[in-house]
Amino acid sequence: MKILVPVKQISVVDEDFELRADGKDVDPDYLDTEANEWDDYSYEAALEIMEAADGDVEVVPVTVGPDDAEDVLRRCLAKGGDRGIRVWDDDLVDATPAAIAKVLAKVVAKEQPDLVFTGTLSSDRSFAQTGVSLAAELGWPHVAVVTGIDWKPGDPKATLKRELEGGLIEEVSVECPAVLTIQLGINTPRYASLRGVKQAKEKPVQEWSLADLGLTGAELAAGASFRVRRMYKPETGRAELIEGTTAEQAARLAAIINELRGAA
Amino acid sequence: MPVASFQSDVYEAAVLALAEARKPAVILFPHSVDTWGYAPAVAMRGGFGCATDVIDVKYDGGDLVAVRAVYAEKLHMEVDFPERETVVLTVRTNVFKPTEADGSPAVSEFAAPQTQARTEHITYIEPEQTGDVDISQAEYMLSVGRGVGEEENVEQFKELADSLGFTLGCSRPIADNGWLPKSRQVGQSGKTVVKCKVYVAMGISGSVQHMAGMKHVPSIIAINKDAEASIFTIAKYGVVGDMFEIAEELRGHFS
Repeated sequence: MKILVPVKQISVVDEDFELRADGKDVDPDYLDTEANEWDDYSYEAALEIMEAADGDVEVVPVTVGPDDAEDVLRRCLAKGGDRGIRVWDDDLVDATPAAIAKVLAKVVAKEQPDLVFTGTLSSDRSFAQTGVSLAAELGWPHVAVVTGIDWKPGDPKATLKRELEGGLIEEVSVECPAVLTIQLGINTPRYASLRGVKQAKEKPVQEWSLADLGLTGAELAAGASFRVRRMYKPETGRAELIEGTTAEQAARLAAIINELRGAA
Repeated sequence: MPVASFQSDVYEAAVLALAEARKPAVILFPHSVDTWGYAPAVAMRGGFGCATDVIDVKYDGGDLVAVRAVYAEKLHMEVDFPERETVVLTVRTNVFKPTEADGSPAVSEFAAPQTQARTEHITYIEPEQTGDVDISQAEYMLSVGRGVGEEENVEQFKELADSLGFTLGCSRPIADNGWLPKSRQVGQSGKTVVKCKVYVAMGISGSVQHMAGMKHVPSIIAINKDAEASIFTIAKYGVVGDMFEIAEELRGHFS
């Protein structure tokens, strides 16, 4: 039994930044990288099932990203799991969620997992699209925004909780194999131990190109969800900033609060 | 409570059949939890263009252009959909003003295809009622976010809120950690503070999901150490600074 967990290295924009020459993204010099917060929860969910199954379940993290995206795989492997997969090709630089989903579908075809856990969304571009698109490409059932999973190896169905608006929870079952998109708060993600971090360095990471998966850049470009025309800094509202020493700021705030309260 | 349960297989099949029959240029969905669960699948299966969480839509010449926010709302991204006859857009709630008058569409019937759903509804579980306050009715709120740092720091903000006569709320990470009950969470998966007049946000950077529950509040005061935090784009007053130091000083004014 196997759970495949697609994870992503996300980009965070510096306070001051410039756009790329083509104006279609931020200049990479002004981007820092981080692991996507949602993926900590999806990976933890997989590890918990693996541990409860006592050796019957393998957990495999996979990422679509350049060389330095290997960090997010090592970060996962420091917590558990024996191997990772990284897919990259220069044609994937500006890949849309639909293109990533096509790539991941090929990985699923090779790996034959019983379940796939993705994060509900990634915090840089916030599409919330890749997991469900992957399920559609595979023709698999899927459930999004999952906050509870009851499944053990061999179960034909998983019983899930999904989080609706306003904190309402729906309990549903889904036939396996399935793709689940995992929501924050489903568990408390563990921290890796120092020993785990050290061991993770030795764990194998398979590297696949598009050609290894039988895909071409042209094919993916034809299936793009959209084309980026430009990025720009929006005109936004701006709070009236209260300056001064902390004491002065607090005094002004207190006056504002009293006034607002009195006026209401 | 929803009247009928959502089944992605059934919804996808129905929308795809309708799209096949009517060939729409655009299919608009709300950007809601259910559509997260099936709009991208409709696009993928139909071979349609797709953009989610769209905040503006326009035509440039003959080209459909959608705008969405990226990088924690710091930038906007404009996208188009070359050579796509149909485009799926999920639209962020409350960014478009409702029209004054109703339209008069021609309504016709369409038989949905029979589909075997591979998911099954079991039950709905209402959010925990802790016998705590109902924040949706609170007029004055002080909410804490990730900036609070540790569980033992929450209490001093509870005391500060009490001394102001404000109701204590929080953003998602605080409720997820169990530092405050879920019933105190403001935002998309928590409560919308519909009656709130003054909202003090301390250590809350302002995710889209949090702001969905409070951005309508007429007077928002934000205290955050990150000058670039999104919360300052919707706040009336802001302090760029340490929430603990400000709280310490504020206490003196309300004791």
